[in-house]
Amino acid sequence: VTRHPESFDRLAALDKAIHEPARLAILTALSACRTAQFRFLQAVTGLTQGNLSVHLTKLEEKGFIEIEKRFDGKYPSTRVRLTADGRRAIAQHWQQLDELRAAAQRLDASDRE
Amino acid sequence: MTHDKIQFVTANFSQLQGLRLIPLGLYLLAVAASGAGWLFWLPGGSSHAQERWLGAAFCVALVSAVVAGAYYRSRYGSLDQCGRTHRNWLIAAAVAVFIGAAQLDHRFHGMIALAPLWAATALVLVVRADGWLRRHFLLAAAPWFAIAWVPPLHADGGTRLVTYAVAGALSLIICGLGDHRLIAKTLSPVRM
Repeated sequence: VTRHPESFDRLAALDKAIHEPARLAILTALSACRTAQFRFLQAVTGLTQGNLSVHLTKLEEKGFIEIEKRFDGKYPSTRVRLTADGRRAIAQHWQQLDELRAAAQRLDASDRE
Repeated sequence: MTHDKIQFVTANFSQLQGLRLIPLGLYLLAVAASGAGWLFWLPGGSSHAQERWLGAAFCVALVSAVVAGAYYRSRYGSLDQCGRTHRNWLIAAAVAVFIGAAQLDHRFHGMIALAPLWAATALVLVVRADGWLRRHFLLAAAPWFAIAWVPPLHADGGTRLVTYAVAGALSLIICGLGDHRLIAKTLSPVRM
C-alpha cells in the first residue's frame, strides 16, 4: 500500500457507514429487492433485534434506507427499502471494492515478477 | 457469506423455497406408482378409486406446499421481490415446449425422445442463467437425459407416463432439496 498511495487513498475513501459487515449485508440484500421485512434482514445478518435496529437507524440517518411500520392483519410488520441515495451508495461501494481488489491483484502480480 | 450469495438468495427468495416442491414430487411418485399398477392395495381397487386417491393426494400436496411457504415466512421473514414476470413467462414457455415435444414424441416414436431432452436442456439452462449456486439442477437433469436416450423408457404410452412421472418427481425433489439447502446455508433462522 505504501508503494501505491492511490490504493491507500481509495481504501480510506470507503464510506465507513456502509463498509461495516452487517450494514454492507443489509444494503446488499436491499439492493436485490423492493422491500424486505425486518425479520428477513435479521435472517440475512444473523443479528439480534436490538443490534439490527441500531444498524438500521444509522443507515436511515444517512438517508440510505426508509423504514415503514405497518400492520399485516393483526400483526405489526416493519418493512425496509433502499432509497435512491442508498442504491447509488451501495453500487459505488461495490465498484470501489472491485477496483481495490483489482489493484491488489496487480500489486501481487508485480511483486512476483 | 458472499455478496453474490446474499443478492442471489434475496432476489430469488420465493423460488428457492424448495420444500414447497417436495410434496408435488411425492405426488408425482404416487402417479408413477399408480401407472405401474403398484397401488392395487388401495381401498376401492378400481381405476376410478385410484383416480380419487390421486386427486386427494394432489390436494394434500397443494396444501403441504402452502404450509411450507408459511414455514419459510415464519423462519426467515418475507420480502417484495423485484420483477418476476419475465422469469414466469420463461417457465410457462418451457412447459409449453415440453408439452409440444411430448406430442411430437407420441406421433413419431423417434430413437431420441424430444420432451425429456428438452426438460434436461431447460434444467441445464437454469444453471447457466443462475450460476453455480444452483448446480444441483444438473443432477436433476440427469434422469431426463437418461430417459431421452433409452427407447424402452419412452416408447409406449404407459411406460412413458411412469418414466416421465418418476423423472419429474426426482427433478422436483432434487431441485427442492438443493434450493432449500441454499437458503438454509445463507440465512440464519430468526428466533423471537
